[in-house]
Parts: sequence; C-alpha cells; structure tokens
Amino acid sequence: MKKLFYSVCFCWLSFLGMSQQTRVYFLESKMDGSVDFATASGPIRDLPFWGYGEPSLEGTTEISLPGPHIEANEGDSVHVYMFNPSEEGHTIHFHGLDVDQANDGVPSTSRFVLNREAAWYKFKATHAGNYIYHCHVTTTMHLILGMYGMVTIHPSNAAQSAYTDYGAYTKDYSYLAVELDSRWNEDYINIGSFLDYEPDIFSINGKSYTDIYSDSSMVIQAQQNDTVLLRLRNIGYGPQDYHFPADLNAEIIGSDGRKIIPAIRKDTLRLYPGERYSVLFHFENMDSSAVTVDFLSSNGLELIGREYIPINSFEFIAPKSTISIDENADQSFKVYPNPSAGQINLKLPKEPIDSQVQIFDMKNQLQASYPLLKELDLRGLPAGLYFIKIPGLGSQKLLMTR
Amino acid sequence: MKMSKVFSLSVFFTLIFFQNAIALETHLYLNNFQDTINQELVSRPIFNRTQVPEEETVHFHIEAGEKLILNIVNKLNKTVSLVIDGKVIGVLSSGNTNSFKLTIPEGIHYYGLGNELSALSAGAMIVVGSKRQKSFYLKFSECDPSYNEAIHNESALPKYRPEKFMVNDRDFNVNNHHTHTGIEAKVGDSVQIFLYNSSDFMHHAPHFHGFHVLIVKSDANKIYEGLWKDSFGMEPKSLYELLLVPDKEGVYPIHNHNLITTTSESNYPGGMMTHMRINP
Repeated sequence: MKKLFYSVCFCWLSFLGMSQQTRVYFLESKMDGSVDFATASGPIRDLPFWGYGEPSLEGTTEISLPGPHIEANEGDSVHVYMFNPSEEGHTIHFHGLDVDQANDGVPSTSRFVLNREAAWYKFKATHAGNYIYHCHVTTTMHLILGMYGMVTIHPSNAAQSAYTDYGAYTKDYSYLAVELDSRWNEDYINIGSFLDYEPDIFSINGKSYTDIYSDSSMVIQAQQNDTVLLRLRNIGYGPQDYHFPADLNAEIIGSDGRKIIPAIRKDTLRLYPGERYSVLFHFENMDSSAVTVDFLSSNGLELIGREYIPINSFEFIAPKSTISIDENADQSFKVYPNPSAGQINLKLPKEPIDSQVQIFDMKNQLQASYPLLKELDLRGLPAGLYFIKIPGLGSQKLLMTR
Repeated sequence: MKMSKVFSLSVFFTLIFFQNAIALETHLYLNNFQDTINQELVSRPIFNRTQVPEEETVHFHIEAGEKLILNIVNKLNKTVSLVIDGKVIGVLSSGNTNSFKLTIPEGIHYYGLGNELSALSAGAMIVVGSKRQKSFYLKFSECDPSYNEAIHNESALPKYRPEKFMVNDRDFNVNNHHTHTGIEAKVGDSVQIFLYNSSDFMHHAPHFHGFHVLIVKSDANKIYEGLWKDSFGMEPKSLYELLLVPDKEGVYPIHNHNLITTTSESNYPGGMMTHMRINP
C-alpha cells in the first residue's frame, strides 16, 4: 500500500516538477539511524540518530544526517509531505521561512504528526537564501538527536548567484554545523536533565574531523579567480565562530534569507544558534588552507570544540592543537576586555604563580611569551585573533582590534 | 513692549515651565521575590511597583527630554548600589526610600544592581524616545540558585550554571503556556520591540517564528543594525530595538534557539519562550 502511494506520488511529483512553480518533497521521519563519527580520540561507531529520509519506490526509507536537502527557486510553492512511521510524534518546522501558523510545525500552535500519520506542509519561497528545517516536538531533544536538514532557496531566474542580481559565484557549498552529546543519542530514554547537556561531537553536515577532509562535497575546491559561495548554518545550541583565511577576502553578503548591502568584509564571523549567513570567498591565490569552525558555549563563550573545512586539499592534516579545550573548566582563567585594543587583564582562579603567558596566532605559531601577571600590554601585536595560553590553566581566545 | 516680543517671552517661559514639569515620577520597591526552582525556594531581588514581591519587574518608556524620578524603597537587608548601563548612579540604603532625579539620553538603557548582584537581573529597561503604534519590552534572564545563594550568604561564587530561563522574569511552563504572550498586535501594525539580555554571562539567541524583524538598534553588535533577521545573538547585558510588521494572523513562538534554555524543570516547552499573538 505504501509502495503504491509513493508510486502515485512520484508520478504526481514529476508532473508538478515540470511546472517550475511547485516543488514537492516526500520525507519520512524515523528514529532508526546509525552513524559513525571520526574524532581526535578515535572513531565513534554506530551512534544511533533520528532524522528524515526520502522514501524510495521500493518502499524503504533510510534517514540521513542531515536530512535531505530541500531546494527551490524564489517564487516557487514548496509542498512537503511528511509520513511518520516512528513511535513518537514528529513535525517539520521551516526555520526562517516565515510560514503561516498552520504550517509552522509547532505542536501546540499547529499540529502533531503522530505515529503512522502524515501531513502536508506548504509555503511560498519568497526570499532566496539559506534556511533550516527541524522537528519541533520536544525540540531540545529531537533536534539534537538528528532531526534537521538544510533548505536552500535560489533566485527566481535560477542564476548562479546567492540572490537575484547579487552575490554571483562560480561554486557554492552548503554547511550545517551542530554539536551533539553522544550520551543522548546512545540512550535518549535516560537523558536526565537537559541542563546536563555536554557535547562531545562537533559535526558539519553530519561529519567530523578526518571524515570532513576526505569528502568531496565538503572540501572547498577552487581555481584561481573563482568566487565561492559558502552557505553557513548553525543549528547547534551554542555560538560558532568561523575563521576565514585572510587572503580570501571573505565578504558577508546575506543573512537569514536577506541580502546585506553593502557586503561586510570580515575574517571572523560568529553564528548564533539558528542563524545563517552567505559568505563569498575570492580566490586570488591558491594557497591550501582551511576554514576553522570553533564551537563555543553560550555560557561564557568557552571553546568546546573545533572543526576544519579544508580548502583545495584532500590531504589536510589538522594542526596539532596547542589549545587545550576546557581541560578543567574550574581551573580556567578569563581575559578582559575582549575584544581589546591591546591592554588586557587576566582573571586567574588563584594568585599568579611562577608561570608564563603564551600568545599564539591562528596558525598556532607562538607570537609572544610573557611572565604571568594580571595585566598585560599586547599593543605590539597586530590586530587579529589570538589564543592566550597559560600552562596548567588552559587557553582563551582574544580578539585584538585597532 | 511689542506684542511679538511679549509672545516670544511667554513661549520661552512656557517651555521652561514644561521642561521642568515633564517628568515621570514613580515609586519602586526593591523586593526579595521567593521563587521556586526545581522544588526549592530561591530568593531573587527584583524591582517592583508594589511592596508585595512580584515575579515580574518594571520596564520604563519615557519621551526624550522627560526626566525620570525614581523613589526606591530598598527592602533587602543590605545596602546595594543602583546602576544604569553598568554605571553606579547611587546607593540604595537598606530600609530607606532613596530618590533619584534622572536625565537619561535618548536610547535604550538598563537599570539594575551593581557589583556581583548585577548577575541576579533585578532590573529591566529604560527606553527614552518616541513610542510607535505598539511597543513591547522583552527581558531575557536566567537564574542559578547556587549563585543566588552564594551571593546571599556572601560565600565563594560557584561556576555559573543557570537552572531557570525566563522572558520578563517568568519562565514559560505547563501552567502558563496559553497566556505567556509577549507581543499582541494586528496584521499591518508597526510594532516596536525592545529586547534586553540581562545576563552577566550568557549569550542568548532569540528566534522569531512567522516573521523577520528589522534590527533598528543594537548596542553590542553593529553588524546587525539595518538587517532583517529571524535569529540573532544577544551578548550579555546587551540591548536591541526591533521593528515587526506582521503580514498574517496567528500565534507564533519567540524563543531562544539555544534550546537547552527552552525547558522548565526539564520539561519542554518551557523557559525562555513566549508567544506573538497576531490578530486580523
């Protein structure tokens, strides 16, 4: 019966697809995924996850992390049919697409899609840009267990630009970054308090660490004079800092499905939970490097994880970290003001001991070393992002401005 | 004396009179509100309009040039300092009425307590400037019972780990989820929304369902000003002015997209969440 239903639907989809006016997607929400993650301390195998998948004509559905990428052109009507064969209720919330209440996917204001129920979600793609979809049932848990995916709305003329007549590119890459607490995935019944969330895996497009470096859909590959569009999305629960190689002259051209005119030139961009940005890279030279993605805590911006998106290299080797990430949070120190024009104060958990403060740049090269004092004058260093490391007390980021 | 000169002088003195007369005078009580967090009583200092401690504090919106006269009765058992935008304005001596006549520049400001009590989010916003058709004020705050207790007992401060997350000092929970409405407007209204992250430590990330909002002002993140956004970040002690022009009716959530904060005593939905109710 299910096979017959999808066969009829696929025929209908083919018919509608011809019109270029209505895009139809079929999704199933399921709780039976399994995924491997590479991490610096070894692989994590067969981690359970929940998610969305596209049903096949054979009547089977495998879910993916993230879920199927939904794409349409500005002005299209988008119809998404969701069937829920799983035990728990699920929905789809189209984050940032400004849909009406009935299609908002929030159980208390819209509707639940209970076990073996189905629902149509319908909306008009009014603005080109980068969006997200996710389940909005017990969202704190369902989302982070894997129930999310990307939505990209292209300009109405299907041109190779981020927006109509703005943001032309030669190649584009979509990224969705999220951290997760593997204990939740392993045993969602016994999560306990949501407040005990302690992420230990940091993923981009469902991959982490070396699995990113060998994925041709994720490694940025460009030639001289290429303009590459990065579609960035944060669906995690903490801010994420993207550090772009300075020689790529990164331009921020849009956010949350709206243009930014004029573009903003920045080599560091913070994405808060739920935010999306469009960034252009201009390749004038061909050095291999990487985009660094720092995962931060919402409480105090502690660095909790880091991933790299390599550029023009499948042989990428993650820099040997001189940064101890939250080795012992209770022993950590604070740097203020931050950003700073040069003179900084260190708030230490105890009186200064006979130790050193080391200043590393983004390439992990030691730039300066000082005796450990509560006040430091770093005005001799150029503007940029640095890591302040105190042996035994971990490290903190410092943004130097001028 | 020519009539025109008499007229000019009278306008001058009238303006002087009104300039002195335009002031909002109000009484506030710095109370100790007994909150319940995870079945335990927690003391939260809070500015109320009444002597009886209430859960929700007071936002002010005055016209540019208008003075704000605050007569504050400190009902805490210790003397504390009053701050505006982090700067100490004066002392609130325990058990006394403390008066302040304030001339505050146009813009969005916050008031609260100084030093380590700043983290307890006792105050709210003072907006100086014109009101639009509809104006709403949303304060994002959280509470760590252990931190409150340490301040109360003047003992060593623990690592901050909040357990309760609130919009306008109330968490969204099973008892109030039908009535926790931060914004109510009609389709086509021009709605002014002021946001304040009162935390000393936490970055919050409000997300609007159903609509993009124009970020008119942001004191912390200038990159946002002039952008239409549905999600954005609020740094600790930061203030925002937004414009919302709803184009459809319905009920839509506003919540922090750090979804750990959208729980209340480990129940979802809860915490840092409220609703927009848009009428036809």
